[in-house]
Amino acid sequence: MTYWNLQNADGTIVLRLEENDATGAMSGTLASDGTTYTVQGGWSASGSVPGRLASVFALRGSDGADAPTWIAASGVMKGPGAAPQRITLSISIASGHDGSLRRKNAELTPLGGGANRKRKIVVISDVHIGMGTPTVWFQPSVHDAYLKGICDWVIANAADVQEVVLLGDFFDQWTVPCDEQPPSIEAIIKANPQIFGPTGYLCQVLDALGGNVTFGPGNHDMWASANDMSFIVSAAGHSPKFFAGGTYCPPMPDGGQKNIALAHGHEYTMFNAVDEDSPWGGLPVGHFVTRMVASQMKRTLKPGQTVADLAGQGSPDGLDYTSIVKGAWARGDVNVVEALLDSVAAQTGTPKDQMFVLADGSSVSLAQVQSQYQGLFSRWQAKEGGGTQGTINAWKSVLADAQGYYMGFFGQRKAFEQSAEVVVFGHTHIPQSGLETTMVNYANSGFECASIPDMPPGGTQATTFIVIDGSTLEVSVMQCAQNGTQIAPINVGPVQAVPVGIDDSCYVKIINNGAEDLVLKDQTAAHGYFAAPLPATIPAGEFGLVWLQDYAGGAGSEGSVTYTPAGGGPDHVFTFTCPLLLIYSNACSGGTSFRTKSGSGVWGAPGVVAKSGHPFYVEFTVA
Amino acid sequence: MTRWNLASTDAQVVLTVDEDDSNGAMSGTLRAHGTTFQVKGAWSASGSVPGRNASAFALSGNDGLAAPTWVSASGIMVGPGAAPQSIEIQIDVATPAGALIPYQAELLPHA
Repeated sequence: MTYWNLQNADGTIVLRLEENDATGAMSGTLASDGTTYTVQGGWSASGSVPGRLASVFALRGSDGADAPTWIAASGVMKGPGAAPQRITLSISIASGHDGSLRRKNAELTPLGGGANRKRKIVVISDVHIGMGTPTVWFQPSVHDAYLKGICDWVIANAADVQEVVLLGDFFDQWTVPCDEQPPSIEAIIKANPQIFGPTGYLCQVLDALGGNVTFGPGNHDMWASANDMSFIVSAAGHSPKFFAGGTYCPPMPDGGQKNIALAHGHEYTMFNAVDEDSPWGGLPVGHFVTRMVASQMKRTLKPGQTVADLAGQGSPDGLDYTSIVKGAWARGDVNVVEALLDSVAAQTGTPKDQMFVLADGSSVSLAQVQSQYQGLFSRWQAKEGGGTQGTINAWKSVLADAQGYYMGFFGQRKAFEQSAEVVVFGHTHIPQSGLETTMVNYANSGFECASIPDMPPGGTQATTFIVIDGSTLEVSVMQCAQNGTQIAPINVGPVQAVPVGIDDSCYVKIINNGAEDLVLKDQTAAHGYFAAPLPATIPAGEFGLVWLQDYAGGAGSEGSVTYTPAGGGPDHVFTFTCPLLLIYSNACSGGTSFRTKSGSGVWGAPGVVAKSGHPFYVEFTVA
Repeated sequence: MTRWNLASTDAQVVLTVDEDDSNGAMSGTLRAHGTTFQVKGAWSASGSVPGRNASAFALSGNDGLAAPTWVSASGIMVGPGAAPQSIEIQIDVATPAGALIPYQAELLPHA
């Protein structure tokens, strides 16, 4: 299987195909003047059979709209099948919307310098490697095989893997009893030579990918630093790269706008986000919860037993947070953090005078912890804008830590913040793929440290990781089974960003095909609020995303954004409306052209407004 | 399932395809200037969904030879799906010698 990625000189025609050498079958996309068509067809390679003096092919497909536009294309390709150098293309387009027939011809050359650039980005998170002591979720005797299996898969596919991203909680400094000092990242690295030694399996990955492994901290390894990566040195001298906590946008295989955003996800969760008010290096309240559970485990594990022998461990720790937070939510009790600490202390038998030894060797008491995190909920309310919406979003942040509720909402928010079409989180230990009815994609990489009773065949918790095709943005959740010997894609359910039945948002994409950057000049929200910061600039050749969310119980959403060309010229005003009441219609205006859809529908013909249904999606193009 | 059988007045282009009403799939043959191609594709019927103001389709295939000639075509059909009255078709042929040859034709029902 090889990949063809070529475009014409002005980028208005882009061909991205996967071709099967064995059968000559081809499938992928052909974009022409702002419309992307899904196509399939076949080709025959020159020289492979007498009489084949040239490599030629033919394709057909449509744009997938309700009133489809159909495309057919024939072409001549120069160069080897594994790396086409040039394609001469004849295109024919038939519109089911207006009955027009058009032709285009184009000369295509490779995108980004090469048609067979590596396309896959592998995302691994939540491995939780520690010192191998009984309370640590990653137990080498159980989990090494699975992590090695993933690494072996990456090495076997290295020809098409651009990068491996370790998306947080790769190390674990939290699953340590209260009275023990958490290890440093350096100590963890040195305690696991089978992984991090010069010929350890992670270092083998480093060498197979020429050093393209990137690490970012989560919450359990929030103090990991760039300097810690220097303790991992492969046989060929590579060390992982480091990105500071936050969001990592890998370079795209074909260059251009970075529209994949990777983050651990804990920044949206009240109990585990870095707490800037914490006097203990940003430690959130979740750290102390985990420590209390680890102490309980230490007291109750039998000799020779580890937490990997117990059901519910690693996923994360078997405590019932859901009932705690749901109970507080049902009561409208904003002292949910205090309730959490009290409940966990009771469930784990933590004495009132418990001391916690921190990573720097200092100690704090349970009373100090309880005092420090009082008012955490109120601080999140304020951070989310206060008022009713601030309260709602603060509760979402609470529930995000209980079974991962609302992580789809926050994943969508991350996508709109970054103008990314794909977002991947970890943190929840629940693999997921897809967002229902939205214009962006969200996935969760799951985890790598399920306990033995929870794994198949007795349980359902699998070791999973993510593979993103950087050219097509397709996301696959991969399961590693049978002690690391079986790796295959699995189907996991999509999640909702906002329950569709009550989402009267406007989701807007502004594609800047003009010659100049567009700069944000103004924004209005007659109804609703902008759920993610607006792009300050939409560079020429890129797109920006806008999310106008309706208020619960409000009037739907109605707003506008104004962008002005950086070099001067008339403003571009984009308006969009998704009313609550059915007697009003969705509406939009702006751009050189637009297309819309609503709810679970497909994109309509250019200039046609999907007047009913919600939420409302608009894709504006500025020529 | 309906069969479309249409040809240009000079018989240089003949389209014979079976179309499946349930999913719009099409398969059959497209003969263009002496070469018969096995083709597959799909179409969408006008009026069946709001915004569909015309029946349109796209096809592709090859002539089945060891050094194949490939063809792609798109078109607009007038008339009901069960009995097309005319088709305006654009065809692009890619030969094993590396030539790209465009054709255009109006097709009418062919006995």
